[in-house]
Amino acid sequence: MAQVIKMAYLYEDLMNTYGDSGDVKILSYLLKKQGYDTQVDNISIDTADFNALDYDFLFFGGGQDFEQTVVAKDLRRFKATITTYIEAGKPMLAICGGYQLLGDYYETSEGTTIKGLGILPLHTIFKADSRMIGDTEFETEWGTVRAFENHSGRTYFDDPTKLKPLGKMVTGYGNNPEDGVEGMRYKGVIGSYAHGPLLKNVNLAQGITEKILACYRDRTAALTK
Amino acid sequence: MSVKSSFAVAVGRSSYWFLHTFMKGGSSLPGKLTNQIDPDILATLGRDYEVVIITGTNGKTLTTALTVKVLQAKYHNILTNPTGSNMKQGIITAFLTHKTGRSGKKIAVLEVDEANVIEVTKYIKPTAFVFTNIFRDQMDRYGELYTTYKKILAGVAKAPDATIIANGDAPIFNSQSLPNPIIYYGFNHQQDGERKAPYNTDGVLCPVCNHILHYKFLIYSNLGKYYCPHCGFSRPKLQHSVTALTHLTPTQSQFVVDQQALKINIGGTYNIYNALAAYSVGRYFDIAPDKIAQALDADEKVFGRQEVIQVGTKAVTLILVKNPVGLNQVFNLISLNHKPFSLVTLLNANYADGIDTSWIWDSDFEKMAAQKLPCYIAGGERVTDIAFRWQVAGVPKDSLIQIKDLDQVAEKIKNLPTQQVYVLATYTAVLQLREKLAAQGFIAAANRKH
Repeated sequence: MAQVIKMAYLYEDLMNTYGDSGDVKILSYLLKKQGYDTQVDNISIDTADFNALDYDFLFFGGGQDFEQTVVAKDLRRFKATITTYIEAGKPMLAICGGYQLLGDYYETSEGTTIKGLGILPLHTIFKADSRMIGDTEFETEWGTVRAFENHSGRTYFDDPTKLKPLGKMVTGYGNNPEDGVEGMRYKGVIGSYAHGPLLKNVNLAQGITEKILACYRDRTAALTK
Repeated sequence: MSVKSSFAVAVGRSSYWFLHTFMKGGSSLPGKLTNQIDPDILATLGRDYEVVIITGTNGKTLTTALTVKVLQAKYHNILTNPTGSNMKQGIITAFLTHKTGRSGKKIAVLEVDEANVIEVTKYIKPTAFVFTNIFRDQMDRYGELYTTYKKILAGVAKAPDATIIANGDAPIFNSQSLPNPIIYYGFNHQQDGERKAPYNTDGVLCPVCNHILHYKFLIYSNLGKYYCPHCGFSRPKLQHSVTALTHLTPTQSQFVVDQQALKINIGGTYNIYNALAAYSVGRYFDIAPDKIAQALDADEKVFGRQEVIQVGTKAVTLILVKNPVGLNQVFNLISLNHKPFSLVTLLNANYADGIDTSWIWDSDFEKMAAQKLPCYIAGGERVTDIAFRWQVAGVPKDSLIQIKDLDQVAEKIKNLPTQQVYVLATYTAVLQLREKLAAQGFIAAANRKH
């Protein structure tokens, strides 16, 4: 029987705007080359129950402003299970809007504060008049990464002892115009503003694939006990 | 006309004459000069016209061309603006250079960029607006769906009496309550079923209660007979609808609208929507359905965007692509071809192409990969991105050729294993490829577009 890696795509039908579905497609492609099938489940506003621990990978992409406010509201239903998953060190990738929603809150350009999941100590301030758009390049643990950013949200860490950046900027803005860093790492979670999609950088994609396989082995070992 | 307006018009017209007599032409400068002298010039120029404004992210150009064709069945004094001149200055130029003289009603059919609708309606109160659709389109420049729609509505607010002729299958056009009379068109050609849009679709939230929309049937993207199972929001009554698809090929569509058989000499469901929009405008101007049918069965010149070029023994069809919805539609279109063909995809990332290439990941390359075509060519400045997209979609390495330099594309095409070849390319890649093919003698000089 083929081995099936299970991925949960959070709000795939709503947070799907900037080509980030490519990240999931690329991971599935790399896993397939190693002999694994993947099953991708859309977890959305009409999903009744969701247990993150049933999965080997969580993905949360970027969406449009309107959709993101709707998702922010619904997402609270899953806070407990996503927190348990993250604290257990399991792998997750959150891009742009998905990254912002893991934090405490984001403030829209109109000054409205919208609560995030509050799992990670970070927050985001939107500045509609100075959108950060263009090619990016940054250095990570896995080597150089080239991507594309398109965001008016500026993200700041509130507890730098807990959160580490994903990379150091060479070109482009990253989290915000001041810090010169891109994205965030906490345990198995990577947050990032990088579209393109990010995982066309196969070096980074391979790094995440290894984490997913480790998670899969743990989960299936526990099942057979 | 005031002295200032007359002077402005004179300057604009002579600059246009100068540009077209001594230079290669140019359509925005005369408008720009005229506008600088008299910022209200559109009010003067447009005074005697009944104006139809056609806007939306996709399909504006063809809908405009078809609408002109349809209205010509009854009216003989029709002004329109050429493709690409859909902002304020280009529209001023179109008015400046239109030769009136014939008697009868003057009508202007204007393709207007979404953000420029207000620049026109500040000065001219149109008779009708046509909303084709709002899809994601080069988000690095235009932003999100509701932002785009807000821009259009800001312009519509200046003309609350104008009739809106809108795509009824698009939920966004039913999301706001407007004072304008509205005529909806759409598809009604199949039995009701029950489904949702594919996960990778934009704009599927109910605008009333923010739950996921369901569909009785789906045409493509988020267009169809939508309804919200949660609050009851649903597609409005259609005044004009496609009731049957009779015969579809990559180069022709035959279908029935309101019991009238129609034929257009171009393939693609999206073009049926464009024809349906033009039909609806024609009916609004009280043109008989059979007259509209004659007008729509026009020669292929109206449909400029699909061009067939002979390269050696190969028939090469060149198609412009720029966003995921459009590309998916082109994939559907070429899949109607039952003869073997090869597929060339060229990706550039200049400003006119959209500098963000990530949208290719939201298109259904997997569908085309599954067809196991004899050969796929990936090329353009972003050859690495487009080639990797094909690999992830499942094209084996030995069926995939990568070419960065477009000089070699013609040579590779000549040696392809199939007679038929489709080239799907972004804007500047289309231009570059045409130049190369012209330089190599495959396009006659008279046929050159640029």
